[in-house]
Amino acid sequence: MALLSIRNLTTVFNCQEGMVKACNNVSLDINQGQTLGLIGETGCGKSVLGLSILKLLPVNAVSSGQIIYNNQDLLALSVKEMCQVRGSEIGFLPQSPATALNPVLRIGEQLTEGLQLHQGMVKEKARVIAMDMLKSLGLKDCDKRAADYPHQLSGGMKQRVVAAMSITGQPSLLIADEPTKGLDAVNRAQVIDLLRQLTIKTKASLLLITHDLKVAVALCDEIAVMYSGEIVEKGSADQVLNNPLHPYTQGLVASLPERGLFPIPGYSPSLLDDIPGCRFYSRCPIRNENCKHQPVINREVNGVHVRCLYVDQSGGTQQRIYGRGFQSEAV
Amino acid sequence: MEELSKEYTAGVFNRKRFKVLDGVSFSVKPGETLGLVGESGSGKSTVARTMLGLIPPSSGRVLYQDQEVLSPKGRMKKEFCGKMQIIFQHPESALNPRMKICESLLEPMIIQKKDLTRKEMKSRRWELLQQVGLSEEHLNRYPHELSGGQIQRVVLARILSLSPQFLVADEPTSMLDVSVQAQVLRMLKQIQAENGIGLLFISHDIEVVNWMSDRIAVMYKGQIVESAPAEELCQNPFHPYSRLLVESFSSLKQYSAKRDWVENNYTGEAGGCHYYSHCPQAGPDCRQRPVLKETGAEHYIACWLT
Ligand SMILES: Nc1ncnc2c1ncn2[C@@H]1O[C@H](COP(=O)(O)OP(=O)(O)OP(=O)(O)O)[C@@H](O)[C@H]1O
Ligand SMILES: Nc1ncnc2c1ncn2[C@@H]1O[C@H](COP(=O)(O)OP(=O)(O)OP(=O)(O)O)[C@@H](O)[C@H]1O
Ligand SMILES: [Mg+2]
Ligand SMILES: [Mg+2]
Repeated sequence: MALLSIRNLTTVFNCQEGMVKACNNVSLDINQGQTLGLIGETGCGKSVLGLSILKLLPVNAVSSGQIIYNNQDLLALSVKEMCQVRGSEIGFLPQSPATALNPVLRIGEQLTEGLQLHQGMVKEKARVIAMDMLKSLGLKDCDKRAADYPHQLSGGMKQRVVAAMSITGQPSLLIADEPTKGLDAVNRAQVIDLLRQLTIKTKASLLLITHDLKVAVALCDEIAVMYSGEIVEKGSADQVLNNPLHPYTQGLVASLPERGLFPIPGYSPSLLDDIPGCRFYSRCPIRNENCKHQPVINREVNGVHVRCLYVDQSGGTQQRIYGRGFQSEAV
Repeated sequence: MEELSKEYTAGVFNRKRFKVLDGVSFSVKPGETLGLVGESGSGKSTVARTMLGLIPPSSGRVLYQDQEVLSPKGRMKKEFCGKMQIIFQHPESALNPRMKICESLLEPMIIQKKDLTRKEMKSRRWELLQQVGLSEEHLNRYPHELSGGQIQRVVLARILSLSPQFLVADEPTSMLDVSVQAQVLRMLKQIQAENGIGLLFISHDIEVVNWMSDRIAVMYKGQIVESAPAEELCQNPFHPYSRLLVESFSSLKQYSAKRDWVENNYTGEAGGCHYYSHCPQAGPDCRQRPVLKETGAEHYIACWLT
């Protein structure tokens, strides 16, 4: 039984220019203790997916579908009930630490606030727990740091304060939006250790949104790849990153620094457009007339769900076509 | 193009009586890229901000083509404002949340280049958008309606509109996926080569820094502990901290954070090596402050073990 299962979630923003479809028919499952990685292009809707689960979207957004957490549909809950779920059951680590912290409160106060509110702790106890958490995240002189205001911290320190805030409540599901952004290699390893321990010790599940494929490999059991509002590939971490099937995932892996930083040519389509066929069509090296018009459904190939009409069982022939097409265009 | 050099000596940022920067010096030539890596909180962003006169240094100088950049109060002199620019670490706080993207993009052009007509500015804006890969639909949005990566690109377009001669990029791609990162970095490198821009590139991703930079400097607690040509530093890091950084980057999977990060109880006597308390190879010599020495071709190291 999955702890969280998302069924056909569609999130739309009503804007001046029209409807921005940031999540399009997304279905995902996260089991207890499992870590699911969500990777994909910037602006494809990863954060919006995370925020939809927590119902923290702005007023012009409409979500439809089902988000079932512990047998209750989060989309049907009232504001008050949702408040209960947030913080104590589902923790959230937001993407931009710079804007997530209150600039006029000392960070010590901001850290303990949640504990006092959700778990009814007394101030002293909350403080001890909060400081322990900061220490295990590798922040030096925590006691002195607690009296600092956010503007006195470096980028990486803010990131860790926000991380500590999100896990002090011992949530059973943590949604972490780029937890390792802006950290040096040593601290990054520390944060990864911590998240790993969290999932092992407290059996918490983790939805990890990240751009860092190394972090994804190190932490995730399963990985879902998102492109332009849709999940295009989903499978075990090892398979998706080492033997990607979807042309977008292949392109993503090929643009890693160690592969020479070759970007996928072109730009992703506007989320305003309704495209009948494949959304990756304009950039795809193996495209075909059919892809333009035919709706693409999820197929299962060797245990990996992939949204592409032309994935063969081995994925081998494609890779070759792909490699050639991209390198020559990118140079 | 004349020699562009930058020197920032003995900058001591005294706040609550601790030094955030301690005698940092380096120079960047036109068209050259200097990569700056280092521990989080080691003062990289502070270097960037002091250089551009956003915070006054306690001591030290910044030179641009042999001219002093900062006024006695530590502000940037007006003639340099357009020439030196910075891409901030957190782009979401660099844009005015109440301004639409199109206004934010026009603003610097209006302030700096008064001779352009409105129409010329609009076409220039269009070019810039193309360059960074955004489309017109984003122009009418407010910053909170864009994703992190999209904001990053708006900020980039905004800075390129000023055609700076020296650019500081403080983790410019930390919010981008690897493919867009590759696009942006290639774009940055191309623009840099075309215009001979000197670049100070701050990042935590050693592979990216290696690809972007000609030289790399490693910072630890407000000091540059090692500086070398990019390839050299990634292949043969010498300083124990640089080694830790390079190793832990390449082998995340098996890597446990505790290894090599020893906690000597010794808490760095005033004047000792800053890395003493964590260094696995620390010896008695290390109670003295090491200075940067040239040990190989353009390879500078601040460590007693050399
Ligand atoms: N309030 C809003 N109104 C209109 N469009 C929005 C709003 N918020 C987000 N969007 C759009 O929704 C899309 C998805 O945004 P989201 O923040 O989820 O991207 P992301 O995948 O997290 O990207 P990144 O990796 O850069 O953070 C973007 O194209 C963005 O412009
Ligand atoms: N206004 C301030 N008042 C007091 N201390 C400050 C202030 N701004 C920064 N600091 C301190 O200066 C040190 C260096 O900060 P800086 O932002 O330069 O680090 P950084 O190297 O950019 O780190 P990161 O990689 O995490 O961004 C930190 O210890 C920080 O706490
Ligand atoms: Mg995001
Ligand atoms: Mg910084």
